[in-house]
Amino acid sequence: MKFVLSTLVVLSSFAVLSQTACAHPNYPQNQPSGIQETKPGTATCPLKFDSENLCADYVWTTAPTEEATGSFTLKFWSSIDQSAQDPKMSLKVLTWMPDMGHGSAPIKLTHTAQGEYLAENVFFSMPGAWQLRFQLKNANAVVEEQIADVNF
Amino acid sequence: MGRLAAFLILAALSTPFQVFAAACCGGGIPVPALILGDENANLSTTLTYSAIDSDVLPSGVWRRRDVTEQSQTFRLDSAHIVADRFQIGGTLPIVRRARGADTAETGLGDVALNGGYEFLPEWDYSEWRPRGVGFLQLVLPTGRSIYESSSIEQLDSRGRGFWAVGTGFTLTKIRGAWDGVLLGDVHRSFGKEAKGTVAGDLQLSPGWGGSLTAGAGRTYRDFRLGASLAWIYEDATAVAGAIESRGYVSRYASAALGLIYAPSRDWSAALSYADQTLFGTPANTPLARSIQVSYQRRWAR
Repeated sequence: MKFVLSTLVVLSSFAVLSQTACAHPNYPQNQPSGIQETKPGTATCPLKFDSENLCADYVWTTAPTEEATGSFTLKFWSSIDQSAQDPKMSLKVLTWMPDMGHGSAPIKLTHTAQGEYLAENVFFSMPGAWQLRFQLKNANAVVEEQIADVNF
Repeated sequence: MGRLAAFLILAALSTPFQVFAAACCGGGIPVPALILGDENANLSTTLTYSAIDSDVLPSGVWRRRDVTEQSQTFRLDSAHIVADRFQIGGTLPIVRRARGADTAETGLGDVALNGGYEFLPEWDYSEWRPRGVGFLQLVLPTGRSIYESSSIEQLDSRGRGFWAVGTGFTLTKIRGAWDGVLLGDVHRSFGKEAKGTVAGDLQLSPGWGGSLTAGAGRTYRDFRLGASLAWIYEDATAVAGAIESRGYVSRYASAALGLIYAPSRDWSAALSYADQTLFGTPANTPLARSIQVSYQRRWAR
């Protein structure tokens, strides 16, 4: 009997504590499914690289999920005459989670046509605020970078 | 029997509830292996199964996972008295992380070594004075960090990846069949250069962290039913080099309910459930639920 009473005391203390210090889960009511993203530039030049007078944009061909990697096509064109152009510097694209301070898997880039690349193996390892970072590099130095915010 | 049982329970408490999964992404600082009872040495084996329930963003928004991420941790803890009031201990975790049904990685987590000193011994009975053990802890970056991960889903990240030193205390008090325990720690993780990461060469600068655990329980014959609540905090990890990133602090609370069976001075077994979704105002962290079973063997002085 004493054990039962003591057990009830422990459990009720736990319950009281849960009422006074309990977490308040804040799940969004209308969480849109899929990826929401914000590109830094304008509608006509979503990613602007002044160092080479280039504009760029990407379109998802397969959106990544929590289970599977995704891919997108990335196109560059001249900001002067809109012709398709490859960047002269080396191109790197990576994912980054700024609040956590880490990235995700390496993105595989394949040059498919003049000014056009296929980015594969795009993966966001957990839900949250991510960045897609598009870097023009000279050797190991990042010369110019454009960042798209991705809410995954 | 009551006092003997209470000491056995305190000994069993030296393997406190440990939850994997937060803070990102290889778990927090391990709870030190300590002798809180009257034995000369102990060895504990612990198996923990955890599943991430949700992620909490820095803004406080919670997000459920569509795909379950689980971990199983097999942990060996041992502590030994080396002089009258001095003790040493160590923790060796083997971690398996899995995502969905197909992908899993297994390997060593962060190994920790600790030394302890009983600063409040119980040589005579006191109505109010607790038994106190202080400790110093060294955490080795043996579990691969998320920065050095080479798998797509980063499941091979099983540790924080930083050297860390910490200090803390435990206070335990028994009054009749009831007992209480308070455990606090402060630790400092040291920065390092991570070369050849996905983003390039990075200078990583973690900061301070700490935890406070309060627990209470009731002993009846060979059993103890107890509950505990732990608050855990980690500074942001700032990143410089190929990428500049300030990071964001991580915090969460973990509640645990456990049943310990201690039929003799030589051994005890425990079953516990821990939940990180119930208390506090978590931020920037995955939250997990876990079940843990442990067995502890003790050797008398």
